[in-house]
Amino acid sequence: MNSRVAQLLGRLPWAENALMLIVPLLAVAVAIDLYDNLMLKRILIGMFINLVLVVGLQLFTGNSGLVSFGHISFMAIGAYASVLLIMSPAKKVYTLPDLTGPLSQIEMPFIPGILLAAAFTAVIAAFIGWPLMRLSGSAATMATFALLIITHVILINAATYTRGTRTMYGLENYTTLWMSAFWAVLIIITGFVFRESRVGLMLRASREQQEAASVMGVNIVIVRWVAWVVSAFICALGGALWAHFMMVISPYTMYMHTTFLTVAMLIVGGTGSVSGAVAGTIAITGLFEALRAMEIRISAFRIAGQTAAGFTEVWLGVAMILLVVLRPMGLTMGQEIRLPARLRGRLEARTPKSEG
Amino acid sequence: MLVLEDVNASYGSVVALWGVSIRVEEGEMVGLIGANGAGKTTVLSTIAGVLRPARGTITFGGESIVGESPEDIVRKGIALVPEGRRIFPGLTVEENLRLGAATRSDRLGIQQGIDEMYQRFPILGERLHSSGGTLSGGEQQQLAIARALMCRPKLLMLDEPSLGLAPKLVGDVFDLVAELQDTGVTILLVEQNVAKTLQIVDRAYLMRTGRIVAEGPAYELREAVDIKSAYLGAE
Amino acid sequence: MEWADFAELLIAAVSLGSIYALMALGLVLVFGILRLINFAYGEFIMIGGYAMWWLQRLEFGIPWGFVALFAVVVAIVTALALERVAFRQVRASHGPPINLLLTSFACSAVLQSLVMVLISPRSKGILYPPLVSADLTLGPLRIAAFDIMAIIVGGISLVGLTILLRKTFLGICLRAAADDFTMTRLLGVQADRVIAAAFAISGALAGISSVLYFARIGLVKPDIGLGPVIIAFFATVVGGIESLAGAVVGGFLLGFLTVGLQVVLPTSLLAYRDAFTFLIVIIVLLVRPQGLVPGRHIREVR
Repeated sequence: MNSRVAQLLGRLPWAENALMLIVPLLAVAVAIDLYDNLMLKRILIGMFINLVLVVGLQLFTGNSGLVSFGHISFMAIGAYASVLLIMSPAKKVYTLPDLTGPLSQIEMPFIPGILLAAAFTAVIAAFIGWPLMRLSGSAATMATFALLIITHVILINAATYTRGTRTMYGLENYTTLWMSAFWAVLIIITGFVFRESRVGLMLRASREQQEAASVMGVNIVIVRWVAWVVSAFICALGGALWAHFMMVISPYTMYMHTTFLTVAMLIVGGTGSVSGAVAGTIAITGLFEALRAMEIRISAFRIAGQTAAGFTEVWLGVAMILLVVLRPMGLTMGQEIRLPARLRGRLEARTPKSEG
Repeated sequence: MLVLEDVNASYGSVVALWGVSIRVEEGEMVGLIGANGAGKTTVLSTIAGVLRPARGTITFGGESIVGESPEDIVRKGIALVPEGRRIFPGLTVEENLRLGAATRSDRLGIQQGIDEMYQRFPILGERLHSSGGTLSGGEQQQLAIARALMCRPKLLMLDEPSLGLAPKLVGDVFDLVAELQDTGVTILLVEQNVAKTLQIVDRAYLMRTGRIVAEGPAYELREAVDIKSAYLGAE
Repeated sequence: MEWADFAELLIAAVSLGSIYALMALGLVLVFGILRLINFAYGEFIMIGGYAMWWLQRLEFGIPWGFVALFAVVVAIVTALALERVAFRQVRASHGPPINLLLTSFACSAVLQSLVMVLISPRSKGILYPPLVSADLTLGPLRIAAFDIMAIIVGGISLVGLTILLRKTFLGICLRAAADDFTMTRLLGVQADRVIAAAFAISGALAGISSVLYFARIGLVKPDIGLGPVIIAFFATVVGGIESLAGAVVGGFLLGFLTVGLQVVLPTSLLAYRDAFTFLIVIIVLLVRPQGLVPGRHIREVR
């Protein structure tokens, strides 16, 4: 048995890293499912969805070296598209009365619905990314920031499809604990597979040495573009999951603040590795929930109902700066998480030499 | 005056210097020669505080300068004329010189210094108010040296001063460096032009792939380099 | 269109452009040296607004010039404080440049939430003297006194900044640092001081623009800073992020664009105005990444 595992690890060097992330996550999911605490469950679902978003962002930023502020656009588009595809026509009459044509009649099951929504978003991202991926460095960051603003304005004004500034309600709660866990695990694996794929390797090579990569015949624009489209698909998926978890969405909940939080999770964890994205998401989610729990405790003592809500954000911001100062290269220092040395040594001892 | 002992330095995970030891005595002109990519510029960056050594010690006048910021190292009296001159293109010649005196606060002395530079480099005096970006390569090199002299350095480090200049000007630059030594400045000169360098320096170090491979008085190295010149040239 | 109408629009556009140019200058000054789009910049403007509100509430009838001055001082102090406690520490930890960006985001969130918790999430009114909101009649022209004030204050600030940058040693250091920061340090210029100075000037510009900005909208609320940041961001990118002149050009361009589109666009499309404006940002980045006024040279930071 052990040697079988060792063989697998030899053939797929990233499998060890992926297992180190997935096994604990699933263990926590099982524990919380058994403990059956509604609040803990909701926190965990939220974290799994954030994992989808942050690992999706890492797939682009970590491999290309370009910082994107635009990916929450894709989250929002994916969320609204999935609602249009999944919501029943009977409900659409109330929530989207101006909607006509096939979109008002369609009613898809959840999983095909979110996949189609993500595919639709990926097509949009493909068109946008084709010119955008020519940009490098801070110019690329600025262009993606402009993209975020444009998408926001369009979502607010396309009231026929989005209810505009008003909240979209009437969504079913499809994103259960195991649904979100399934996608989080799948996306983490995707992150590793992409990283080690031909495109991923070429992209990382191009990040480190642009001249050398173009000499090698790597078309930087195309490999970047592939990463952009794949990560847009993932973020759209995250948006669709989010919509059917919260059951209400609005353009404001998927704008600057969400962008800030996802980018922060990625940077705090370290952009360079999938483990970093996962670690950052867990750390920030944990911090946020701990601070909020503390705040609720403290404000329970207050009598005059003065809202103490908001200090969470203050401390979270301070904590982020502290983390960045103390761990400038990210929580995992840009490395992937590996098995503890002792365990790995035992496995490697059983590995046939040829796998070495 | 300046002593590097067993210095290692790296860019990220790539080690660029391996156990480099260099001494420069007061009043000396020392050459640091070797092919492109041998690590000469890295040595200067490490001394200047742009790069932090991973191992080893660097002392200047008996005091360790490892870990000091670039601006503090200038204040101790080490000036660098960097590769490519790095004149501020948007600043006038005069502003470039004033900036060179950033470590000083004596207004009168600074003005005197600028006047001195105009005497030594008349072409700069003529172009007082033109922006640095409009100067020719040779003029920029003069400005870069003048700028570095403005802080009255004890040690002047020159990185490839002859690089990219017309052949006629190359000789002028070497003459200028030789004259500088006569004014009492200690000089550490990095050059690819091995023959010309060995004509003006007192001692020299030869670098290859991040290591010092030979050192000695200029005349000894001249012979050593003659033997090696075949493959040095090919590198 | 009557020529008088046109002249009125022109004055409105120049006035708006002056405010936007000041906002953009504050952003580009810090970007030039740190290569950082400082998202907390909007909060300097927000804090300026709250400073005015607080002083007015504290004591009724304080001379208005003093209130305005107080806003500028508070904005400068805020900028310097953030530089000192946050940006400098992050810079000293030698992480990737992206960490500074996160820091600016975090600072922005912290300031917004602090104001929300300590003051109120709801908007607060700021009083301006009657003269500012008066209309002046000049022959056939009716001009808002406020517009004249914005143009005059904007003009004076621009001249002041130009003198500071051209004629003082600090100005030389700031321009040199924007050109080549490492070389500037190699000449002995203290990095921390130059950066602190850039933040201080950035804060001053934010303070001045907050006085003008809130005269237009009259209200301040915790998330009010986002608008100015986006405006400054637009002006900076379109004008040319490498050059101060570009920021001014970009600011005025946005002023004209805002007023112009208001007149030209049909009402149904007017809601999409910001989408159009930011489409221009992307197009400029693609076609002319150095902006309308290119800097001396483009250096990419990896």
